[in-house]
Amino acid sequence: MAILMILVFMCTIAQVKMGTYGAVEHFMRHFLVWARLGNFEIPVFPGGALVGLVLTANLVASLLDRLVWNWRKLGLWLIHAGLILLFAGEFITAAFQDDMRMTIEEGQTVGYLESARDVELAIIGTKDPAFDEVFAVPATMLAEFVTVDLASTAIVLNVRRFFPNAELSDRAPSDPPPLATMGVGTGVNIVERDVTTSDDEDNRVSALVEPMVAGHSQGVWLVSQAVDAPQSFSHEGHTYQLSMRPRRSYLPYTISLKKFTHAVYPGTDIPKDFSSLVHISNPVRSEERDVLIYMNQPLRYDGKAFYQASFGKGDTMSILQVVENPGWLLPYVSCVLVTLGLLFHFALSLRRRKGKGKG
Amino acid sequence: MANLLALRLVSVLALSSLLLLGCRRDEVRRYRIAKEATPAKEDSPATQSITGGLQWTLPQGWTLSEGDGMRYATLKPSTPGKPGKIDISVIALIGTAGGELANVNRWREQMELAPVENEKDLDGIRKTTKSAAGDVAVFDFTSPGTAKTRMLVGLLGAADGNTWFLKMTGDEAPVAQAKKEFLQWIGSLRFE
Repeated sequence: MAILMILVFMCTIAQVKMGTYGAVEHFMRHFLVWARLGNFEIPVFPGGALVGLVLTANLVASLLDRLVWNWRKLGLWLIHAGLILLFAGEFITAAFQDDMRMTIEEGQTVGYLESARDVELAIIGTKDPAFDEVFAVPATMLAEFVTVDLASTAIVLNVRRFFPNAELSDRAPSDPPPLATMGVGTGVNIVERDVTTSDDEDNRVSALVEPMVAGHSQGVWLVSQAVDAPQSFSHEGHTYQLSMRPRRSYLPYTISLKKFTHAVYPGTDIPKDFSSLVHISNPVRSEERDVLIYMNQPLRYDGKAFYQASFGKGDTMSILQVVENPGWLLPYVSCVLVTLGLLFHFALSLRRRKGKGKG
Repeated sequence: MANLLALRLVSVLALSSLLLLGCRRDEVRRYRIAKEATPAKEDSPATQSITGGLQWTLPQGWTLSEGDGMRYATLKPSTPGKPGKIDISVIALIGTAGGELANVNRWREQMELAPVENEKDLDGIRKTTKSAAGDVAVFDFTSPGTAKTRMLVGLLGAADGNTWFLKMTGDEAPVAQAKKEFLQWIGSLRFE
């Protein structure tokens, strides 16, 4: 418990520099807290995952080993069960929760979610007039591998360099030759920057890649989240687009934004309410309906919760945070169990004391 | 005691397996998806916009062509009686794109001018033009020597996180003639 308190304190202080996500990942979601010493990373403190694991293991073990199973101990059983469920819920959340977002403009229909953190290089074959064939290469593979094979195609991707965060700027004639030989990369300088975990900054994941199609080089291309438009190369009548973008997860249904409303308190700029009137179209379930999503009232649909998170473009664009967490109910169940256990145990103790008093 | 240890070990294994189950394996995903509809472009004579955000009002006689790759748009001003090279580009980069001082020194180097040492000195060479898209920092550089070239650059840090570069470069005479319209054009900037 003392270690947990220290971890919570360190995590809270670290949020100033590392941002919320960075601090929680560093201190709470790993088994060990690592620190950099020169070129090495060394473990310096137990992490939240390890402390939680030990706490939960002790709780389960002592519950099963020491607590007598009879109706008088039911309250304690419920309290312990509730606490164990709470810790288990946190492990499920850490393991399975996926934070995504949906950015949607008024009048637009979107059928996919984008990861808030993960990035992919999408290689999109556009030959078919009705469909795109997408090969999504996780950025972590570009960081780790020199060659990425797009199986069952003739395309092999040579990864020349990977930048977890980079800044692009206009090239001047006096600058050294560009590292890219094709596309927008020929006109920009690329400078690697430190990875940021701050809440106010995003990393611009970038890479220099050389697609090889049937053994023929298609040049070295700069792919980057800082480059807005996709670039494309062609080989024997097939055109492929290259786009570094947040990892996408396509849905079996679509959501259209009919109206975004941003209300302020009269006479001020203080936001009062944000709401998105959306239309869900799900051909699998033959479902067509309108739903209003507003602050603290998410849309719960298909195992996901769509929260009103942000907005933009002059109040015509809504950004929904979409959370998928199979363990979302566990904290609520845990609270109910602990409450019932406390009430039962308290009632029983009270009855026992009254009985003693009478005696 | 042995029971307690065994129970602890079982709990640790059960919880650890939960974490392992959640680990994502990195692999290339392949799927087919219906093509996304491309929004229709709207043109009108005086106000032209390219899908992407920044709009403006073209001064009389100016022409616009769409950019490619990094270049968002290319404009050609009207400079009657002043022959020579002139080019106006609109480029958008995501993020701070190096910052104001680094970019100013890069442009000054291109114009064979000495660099500015620190941020405070920028106040003396920066003019600010207000627009509906935000305040645009405008810099005016002329190269030394007899065959002078001139560069006017507008730098706009937008609320959407992009940095917009609005650059007019060319020979001194046509750029000088187009300067007033260039500043009017910058003043007409707005986001759709």
